[in-house]
Amino acid sequence: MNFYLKLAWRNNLRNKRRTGLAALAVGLGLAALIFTDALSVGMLSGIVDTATGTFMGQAQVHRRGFTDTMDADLFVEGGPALLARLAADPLVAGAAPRTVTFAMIASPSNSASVMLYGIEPSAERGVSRLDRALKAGDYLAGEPGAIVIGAALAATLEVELGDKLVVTAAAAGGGDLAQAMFRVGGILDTGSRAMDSNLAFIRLAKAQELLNLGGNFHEIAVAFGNIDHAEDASLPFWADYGGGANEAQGWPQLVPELGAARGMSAFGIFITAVILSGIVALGITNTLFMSLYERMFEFGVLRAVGTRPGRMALMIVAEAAVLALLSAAVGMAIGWLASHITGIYGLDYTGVDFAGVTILEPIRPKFRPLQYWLYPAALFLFTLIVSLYPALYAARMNPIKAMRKSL
Amino acid sequence: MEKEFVIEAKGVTKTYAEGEVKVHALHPTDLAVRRGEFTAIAGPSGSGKTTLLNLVSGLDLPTSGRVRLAGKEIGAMSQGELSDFRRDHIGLIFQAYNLIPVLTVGENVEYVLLLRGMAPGERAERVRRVLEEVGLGGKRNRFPSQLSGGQQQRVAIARAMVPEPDLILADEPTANLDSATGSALMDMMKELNERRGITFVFSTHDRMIMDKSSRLITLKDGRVQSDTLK
Repeated sequence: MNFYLKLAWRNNLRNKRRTGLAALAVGLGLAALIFTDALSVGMLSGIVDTATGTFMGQAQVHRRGFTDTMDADLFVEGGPALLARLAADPLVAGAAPRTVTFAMIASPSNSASVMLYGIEPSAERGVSRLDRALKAGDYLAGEPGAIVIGAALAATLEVELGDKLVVTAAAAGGGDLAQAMFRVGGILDTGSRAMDSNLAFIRLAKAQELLNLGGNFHEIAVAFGNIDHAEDASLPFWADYGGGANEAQGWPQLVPELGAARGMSAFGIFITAVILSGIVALGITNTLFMSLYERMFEFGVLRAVGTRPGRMALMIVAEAAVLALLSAAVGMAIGWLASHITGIYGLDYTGVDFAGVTILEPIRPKFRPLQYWLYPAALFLFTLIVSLYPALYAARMNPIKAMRKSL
Repeated sequence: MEKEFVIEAKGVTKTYAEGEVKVHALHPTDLAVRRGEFTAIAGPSGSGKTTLLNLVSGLDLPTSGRVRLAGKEIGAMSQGELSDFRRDHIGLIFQAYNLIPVLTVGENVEYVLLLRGMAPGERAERVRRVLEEVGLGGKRNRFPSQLSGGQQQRVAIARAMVPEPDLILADEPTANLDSATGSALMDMMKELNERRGITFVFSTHDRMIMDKSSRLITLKDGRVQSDTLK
């Protein structure tokens, strides 16, 4: 076999320009696949990070049925005990209790319907980055009657820091309307217009009092030590915290649009791979046939001196294998370089909504090992398969016709 | 005691179809060559000598008739079996040397032994010995492009000899060489024939080869005109 590889290597070097161009063409195809994958993974990873890290959390625990009805009475069963267990769970990096309700919020100038959250700022820091989006004021650090709202909502209500707002919401235990006055303590700019115009945050204790919840809450937002746990349905976590009246869901269930976007992205990569495979197939076949026609006489001689058809085919496949290895090396180098350079500068699509999530950070390609083993290995195998056509052609070659001027 | 036949062709013909026209390249021909002969097949272009050598080398199969090489009928062999048969029993020398340019002199000669699955040590020794015999002992690691035409043809002779075949067939082996080089090569092959008993059959127009051969067969229009032992 060493002899055939040596022969294949030298034959590839025989026409360096042609081999170089073929390796570059095929390598560019591989590089495009590596880059597309890295960009797609990077984009989705960024969006998931934004969706989960800004406020939602990587997983949430609710009372079953709460997310459909938003009924204030459907608070997490055994919430405080569950929260304590979550805090001690080695998989969990942070857990934050929240009350969640629809509310009407009114200023002297205007009113708006919002989603009102009761939160514990210290616990929220382990789950969300809401505090980092603070544009003015503080993060519920001052008086208990403070409310934090988004900049867009503040503009709608025509309020500034310190201005009064009246919040009206349906309380638990019968649905009576409850009302309380708050002062604007902080204004957020998350970069997401949907969040900045529709969400309002008050202290958890104040919300529990307003909604007549006692020590209960509607939601526990969870951040894992490793975000991949949120997609791992095999973890006992989901049964442990989602049994009985409660349900525990990861971000793929909480934002199914993102899961669909990922499926579309994978399909896009597959289509890219199919198109690039076609280019690779044509490139390799063309190169091998050009080389084969150029050396027809030699192949005739090799057959004449006793090379069996199978060995002739093996020679062509070995040449293709060497070409594939060169192409893979070129492709990986270009793919890495393109990903690295794009990673330094990023692609700025901030502010654009994708799958219901606003892109807040520049998109950066993300490395994953399969880009540098699966795709090159697939290219290598595919090249070997494609080379079978010229290999069979060479194997079936009539030595007399090949030599033209034969014995 | 008479020597055994290396080539026995009986009533072989070859007809090529060119469109609707049939070209009879070789009319019914008998040819028998004994082991150790140094035979030239001569004739003008189109006389059928190339066709005859294609048939007796197993590169082509006759339209009719039978060919036995080294005691074996080749008509019923598959392509793979024919390849193995040529590898083991026949050495070929071409007019244009036809060495593999990306292989060194040693590798070109070694290739046929590699096909036979011979052990590396034995291959190396056999190649060294044969290259010494053809006067190229010091050029084993050169590439064909670094050699003169005469030296390249010596490599081709070494390649043909190295598997120790029953028969070496040479197609116009001196046609691309100057007369002095061609004559020296013929002397070398004659010496190998006499010393090692290798059977040579040449296809040629070259008067020098005809003169140096021990048997001369002439062909014309696909028929044997004469067959002379000298």
